[in-house]
Formats: sequence, structure tokens, C-alpha cells
Amino acid sequence: MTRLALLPVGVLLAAMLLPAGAALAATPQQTYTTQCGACHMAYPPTLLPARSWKAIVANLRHHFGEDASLGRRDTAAISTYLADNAADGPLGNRRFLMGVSPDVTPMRITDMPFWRVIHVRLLRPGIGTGPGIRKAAACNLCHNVSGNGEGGEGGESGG
Amino acid sequence: MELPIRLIATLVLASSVTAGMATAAPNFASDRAAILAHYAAEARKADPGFKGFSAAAGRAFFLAHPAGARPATPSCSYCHTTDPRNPGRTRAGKVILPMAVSRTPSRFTKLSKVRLWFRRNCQSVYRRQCTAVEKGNYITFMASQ
Ligand code: HEC
Ligand code: HEC
Ligand code: HEC
Repeated sequence: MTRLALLPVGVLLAAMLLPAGAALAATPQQTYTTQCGACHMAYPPTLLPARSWKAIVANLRHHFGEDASLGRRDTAAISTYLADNAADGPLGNRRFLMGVSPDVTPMRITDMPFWRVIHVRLLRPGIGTGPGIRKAAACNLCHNVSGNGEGGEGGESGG
Repeated sequence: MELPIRLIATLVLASSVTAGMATAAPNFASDRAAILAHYAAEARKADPGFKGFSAAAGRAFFLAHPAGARPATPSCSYCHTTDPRNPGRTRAGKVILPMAVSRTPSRFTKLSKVRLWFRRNCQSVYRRQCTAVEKGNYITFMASQ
């Protein structure tokens, strides 16, 4: 009990000892959550293979009908984070690759066979795939998940 | 048992006091004024006769449906709604906090964020970069809402 009570003291002390105003640089994960969570939830990287993330990040200027491009530093941080945590990355879960042919590069989680198997009932007409908004990509409409950015706080930018 | 708790309370107090001193409460109004001054300086460089920003022009720019817009993004108001005091919605279904400064006081207070979104959204809607005057007018309009 005493040790538990003392733990926060150490945390507080550490916080107090930080130099005033020292802004800790964002981790790649924070950059991903902020920037890729601005328009939709920041999708868990393990839901797509690395080649898919690579293709998506390479074409952010034309991202599902919008310009989602980022500065070079943020793009690099996000690429690394996605490669590490992709389904076939060192920290990912290969189970999500079920049924994906190696020569196919899915551009949507909602095109992944695992997703379509789980959501087969949702794929009946009228829910997933209408023109314009594909509500299926708004996982958080139905699932209680975090993954919301703060609206794309530009870490760096142009223009 | 009593001692650690009192110690924690003291430290919490102490740390909030130091935090308060180290990072002054954000001053949104002056941050926004600095961003407007930045765009005013750019506008003056492009046109020495620049007279100042116009909320009315900013409103027209916000509501316009430019001819060449990408089909998915016909106008600024498409996502931000025609009344900027309302929350907006992205095409992917996520809620966007109101653009109006009266509703979201932190709007237009971080230059890197403002530049990032002007760059992208001007490209999507106007198919070009917006001018400094357009950006200043837009912020001036939103600050009046
Ligand atoms: C400016 C807005 C915006 C930003 C920023 C953005 N996206 Fe998107 N993204 C979209 C839109 C719009 C869609 C299509 C959503 C739909 O069809 O419902 C989409 C769809 C996706 C999809 C497919 C979802 C599915 O399974 O259908 C992925 C994956 C994705 N984005 C990844 C990213 C990544 C990675 C980033 C960060 C580098 C990012 N997005 C940043 C707007 C954005
Ligand atoms: C329209 C509502 C809806 C949307 C949108 C949706 N899901 Fe689901 N999801 C469900 C339902 C319902 C189930 C349970 C499936 C069943 O029992 O038929 C489910 C099940 C799952 C499961 C299985 C584990 C679990 O939690 O039950 C995963 C993983 C999952 N969804 C991921 C996603 C992801 C990722 C997205 C976004 C790309 C998404 N879902 C979008 C409704 C939705
Ligand atoms: C496709 C949807 C969409 C369209 C169209 C759109 N925006 Fe936005 N805008 C967003 C999103 C998403 C954000 C980031 C979320 C947030 O800041 O809450 C944003 C943020 C901004 C910001 C940053 C605000 C800040 O807090 O600093 C500015 C500036 C902006 N938009 C201007 C415009 C202008 C100008 C247009 C028209 C040329 C426009 N937007 C059109 C979706 C859109």
C-alpha cells in the first residue's frame, strides 16, 4: 500500500523536474494518431499488409478523393510506424492476412477478406457500399474504439 | 499512511503551480492575431495597396462552389456546413468541431495546423493554393462568427 501510494510521487517529481516548457517531440505513433485520425479514426495498422500502407502513404495527395498530404518529416514517421505495425510487420498480427493473395494490394480495410467475412451481414445492400460516403470505413460508428486525432495538428507543413 | 497522502497532495499542488508558471494559459486571441498579422504581411508583399481583410469576402469564399472543385469536395461549407457555428462532418463520417471562433476558441491559433489545412482544402475545393488575402478573409470571417 505504501509503495503504491509512493509511486505517483515519483511520477510527479519526474514531471516537475522536466525543464519548463520542454515540449516532448511527438512519437511516430502520436503523429500517426493525430494526422491519420483527423478525417476518420486512426485505423489500427495491423488491419492491412505493409504494402497496402506503403501504397496509401505514397499517394496521400489523391486520397479517396481528397488531398491528405503531409510534410516530409511526418510522412516518414508515419511510414515507419505503419511498416512496423502492419499485419506482416514485426509487431503486427498475420492473422488479418487470411485470404489475401500476395500479389494483391488492398487499399481498404473494408476490402480485406477477414473484414468481409466478419461483416457479411452488413454487406447486404444499403449499409457498406453506397456512393459517396462508405460508412463501413467509420468503424467507430459501431465499435467502441479510440483512435481520434486532434484534427491534424500540423507538426510541419507547407503553403 | 497519512504522510504519503499529505505528501501527494502537496506535490500535486506544487506541480500544478509550477506547471501554471511554466506554461502560461494559452492566449488564443493573441495567437490568432499573430497568424492574421502573418497573412497581412504576405498580402502587403504581394500588393502594397492591401487595405485589410474582409469578413464579408471571407463568407463569400467559404460558401462559394468554385467551378473546378473536385466532385467529392464542392465547397468549404460542404464539410464545415453553411453555418460555421455548427459542427461539421468529414466525408468519412467524423464530426468536425465548429469553425466559428465563438464555438471553438482554439481555432486558427497554430500556424502549422492552419497552413496544413489551407494547403489541402484549397487544393481540393479551389484546385489551387489560396492567396494570403483569401486566408486572412476566411479567418476574419470565422473570428466574427
Ligand atoms: C483529409 C482527410 C483525410 C486524412 C487526413 C486521411 N484520410 Fe484516410 N480517408 C479519407 C477518406 C475521405 C476516406 C474514404 C472514407 C470512406 O470511403 O468512407 C479515407 C479512407 C482511408 C482508408 C480506407 C478505409 C476503408 O477500409 O474503407 C485508409 C486505410 C486510410 N484512409 C488511411 C489513412 C492514413 C494512413 C492516413 C494518414 C497518412 C489518412 N488516411 C489520412 C480521408 C482522409
Ligand atoms: C455498421 C456497423 C459496423 C461498422 C461500420 C464496422 N463494424 Fe465491425 N462489427 C460489426 C458487427 C455487428 C460485428 C459483429 C459481427 C456479427 O456478429 O455479425 C462486428 C465485428 C467486428 C470484429 C470482430 C470482433 C468483434 O469486435 O466482434 C472486428 C475485428 C471488427 N468488427 C472490425 C471492424 C473494423 C476495423 C471496422 C472499420 C473498418 C468495422 N469493424 C466497421 C459492425 C460494424
Ligand atoms: C472534405 C472536408 C473538408 C472540406 C471540403 C474543407 N475542410 Fe477545412 N477542415 C476539414 C477537417 C477534417 C479539418 C481538421 C479538423 C479540425 O480542425 O477540427 C479542417 C480544418 C480546417 C482548417 C484548420 C482550422 C484550425 O483550427 O486551425 C482550416 C483553416 C480549414 N479547414 C479551411 C478550409 C477551407 C478554406 C476550405 C475550403 C477551401 C475547407 N476548409 C474545406 C475538412 C474539410
